Amino acid sequence: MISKFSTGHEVNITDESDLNKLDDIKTYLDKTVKIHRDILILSMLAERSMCGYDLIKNILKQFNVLMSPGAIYPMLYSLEEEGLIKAEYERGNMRTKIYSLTPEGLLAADNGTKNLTVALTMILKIIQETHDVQICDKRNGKHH
Amino acid sequence: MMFKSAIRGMENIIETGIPKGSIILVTGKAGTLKSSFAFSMIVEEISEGCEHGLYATLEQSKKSHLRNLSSLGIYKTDQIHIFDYRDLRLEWQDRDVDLLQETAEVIDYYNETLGKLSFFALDSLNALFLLKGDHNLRRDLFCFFTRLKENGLTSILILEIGRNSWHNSGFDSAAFLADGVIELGVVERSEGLKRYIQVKKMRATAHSMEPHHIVAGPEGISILGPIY
Repeated sequence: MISKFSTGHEVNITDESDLNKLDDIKTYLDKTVKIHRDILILSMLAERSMCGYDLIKNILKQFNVLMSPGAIYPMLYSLEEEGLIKAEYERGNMRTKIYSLTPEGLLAADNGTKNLTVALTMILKIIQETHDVQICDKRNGKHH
Repeated sequence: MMFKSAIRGMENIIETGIPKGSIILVTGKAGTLKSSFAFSMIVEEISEGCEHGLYATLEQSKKSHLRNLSSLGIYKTDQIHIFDYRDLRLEWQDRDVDLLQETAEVIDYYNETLGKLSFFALDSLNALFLLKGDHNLRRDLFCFFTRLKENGLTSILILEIGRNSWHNSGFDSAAFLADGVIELGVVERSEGLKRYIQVKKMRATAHSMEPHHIVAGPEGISILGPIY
């Protein structure tokens, strides 16, 4: 059975017990999204300007992770204070603040995305290599 | 012990200061200096250390709050952070949002980002619980207070309530759960109306029970002698 995440990524489920994999993956996805939400927000705003509510909706749609407003709005205020994003009310709508990137924010989004990609790739590579060595050693009867 | 010299004349009402990690209710009707008093306490307490404080405002906007404070010579420093719920409330007003849970998330955010969030002020407890809607007030207050304690925060919670309105408010359990209750108000004397401050309850420190005169001016807030 192939299970598809809303991100478009697929996970191959071969056994019923493997269904737990989905929950495990979700846990890591939740953590990763939460930790790196600043980069996610900047990269989403690089695509288009939007309000806090739409950012949360977008994160849910793309990663299947529901972020709480209490975790997103303080981050938006911090990014605004750092001069990376700016907020403006929609014309005729004083209820909704629309956030967009400043030139500094655009640069931060670009650098942040590249750096995060490199860092995550490095981590995954090391984890995978260590895992492969351990599997190989177990097969050969070696113990550390 | 903290806050002993946070406000000029504080030593007139509290002998040895307030223990770290306490939850203090600052109560009073509208216009009794509750917000300025709470903010001033935290600003002065953290001005010499490397700790941080979070002031969460549900009713008054950050801009208006800062304007009022500056008229009293009280200024925000880099160590105090104001979270204004306005945007969250406006954008999510038609949707189901648990403001108690959101407040916990906001505290978590500042804790993670700053590393050393030691003080928390909420303006106001009434607004937080009224906006929360259908709830078991006593249970929710207990959970909220427990969470603040677990986070190791010294907290000042503003509660807009008159001296004789406790019984009908449902917030009497807040006074029971809190480590201290400081009442602010206005009394009429022969020389006119006077603002007062009175410590109704304060665990682990000796304190005066008398109402004391409290004044606010361009130099900030000061506590003077007892009002008889």
